[in-house]
Amino acid sequence: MNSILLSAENISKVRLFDRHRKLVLQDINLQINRGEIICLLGANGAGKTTLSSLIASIYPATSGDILFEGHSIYKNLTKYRHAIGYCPQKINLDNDLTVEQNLRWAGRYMGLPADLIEQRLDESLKLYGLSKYRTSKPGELSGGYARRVLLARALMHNPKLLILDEPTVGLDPHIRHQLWNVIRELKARGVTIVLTTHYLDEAETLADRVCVLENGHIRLIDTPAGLKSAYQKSSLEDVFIHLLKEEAQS
Amino acid sequence: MKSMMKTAYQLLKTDIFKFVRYSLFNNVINKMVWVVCSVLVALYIWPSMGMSANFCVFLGVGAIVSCIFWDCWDVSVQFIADLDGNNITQYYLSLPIPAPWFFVKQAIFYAIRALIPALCILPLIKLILWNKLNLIQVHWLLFAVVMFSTCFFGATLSLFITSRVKDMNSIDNISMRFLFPIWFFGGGQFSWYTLYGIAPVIAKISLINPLLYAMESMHVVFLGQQGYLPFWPSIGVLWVFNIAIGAYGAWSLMRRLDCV
Repeated sequence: MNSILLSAENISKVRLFDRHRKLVLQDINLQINRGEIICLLGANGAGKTTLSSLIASIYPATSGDILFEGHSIYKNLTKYRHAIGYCPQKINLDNDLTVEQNLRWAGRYMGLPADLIEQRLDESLKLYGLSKYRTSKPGELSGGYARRVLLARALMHNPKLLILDEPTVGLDPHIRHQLWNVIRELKARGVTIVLTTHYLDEAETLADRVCVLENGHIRLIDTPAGLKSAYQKSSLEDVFIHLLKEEAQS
Repeated sequence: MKSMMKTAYQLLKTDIFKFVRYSLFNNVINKMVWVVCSVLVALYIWPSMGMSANFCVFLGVGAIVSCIFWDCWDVSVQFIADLDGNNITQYYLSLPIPAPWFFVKQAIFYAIRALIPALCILPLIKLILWNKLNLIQVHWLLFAVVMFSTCFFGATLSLFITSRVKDMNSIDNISMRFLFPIWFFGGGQFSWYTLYGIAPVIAKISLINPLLYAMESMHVVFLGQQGYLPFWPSIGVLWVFNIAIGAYGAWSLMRRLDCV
């Protein structure tokens, strides 16, 4: 079986901001292997969220193509969306519905049979420690628990690829660590994960490879160990600071 | 195709579930307040100022269309508030249906949510007007055609408004500068032939107002054809507007949200 699950080929993206067009991604070539965690890193405005949104098919690419298992995602968007789960940076749960209703409807949108939805619902509530919040509305939950519901919603249909956009932003350290454990468990189950983050310790702990973006370009892709070795630094944070200095000088 | 239809159907079911559970009751009450106030004033106060006693029937029947029309405002505000805030729309647009399907689903939901309260106020109008409104002469099939067409007009107009409003700060402008003139000159206060007799040029210009055709058709159903624009051509023109406004609204929203 081909080890490449998803491949971004010469992706460029122009976005409209208040009637101004801005090239936010240019000539992105990225290959994501099955079962790996790849972290997208970069300074603010580097294009991380845009790239993860393109992979999640939220926005169309202006040029280039994204291949999933060798086929363009735009040719069979429905099939692709059945194979992915997306957790955006902003918690966009339905505040009119309870936690269990949010998850149940998510299963229905994905066309799962009713008995499977109930089974997955019970599993998810237990797995993410949400059982006692089953009948709570998302607005009543803390940020950490709301994130867990978001993650559970994205995983209701057992996706092959999970896209997480800054999943631990604004969370307490112990909740971050709990979420890291959840992400590790997902990887152990064979889920491929694209993780966008600002936290370099998070990338160092979780990532098999990191992809550093700079002004809409890919600056480099390597394993955390490979990067530390190449730049002779003890941590990914030092590597990143070094890269930022280089960028400022150039 | 089947799986996309399933997803769209489930999204529609969610919308209806939330509407019935959280909004329907208050929505009906709000519309009843509108109808009771306007029809009672037209029934008891305006005749003492020289207005025809039958004007209350004209106004009451038009109130059904007005309620549907102003519902588009409510849903547009909700849609824009979501885009500015929680943005659950982004989640819906990441589901396994193409964006145009999602907007068609939105339009169908908006039409359903406008239809239910509008049907609920009809018995109230009958109760207030009693002998003045004769329901026996009403052609209910034509009534169904007008309701269906008008609800879709409200729905497509909602998509159009949502696509044109930048954010919550600018939303009030569209209600006063765009919706209010459409409504005021939309045949709810006076018939098109009345306007034509007084100001023919303005009457001709007002033919580009789609609400006029919905209002005139509703008056035909309850008050007869005489004195109003012909029924079936009005319905035809209304559907031309529905398709044009809906297609432009969906296309414009797709551009605005930059979705696939």
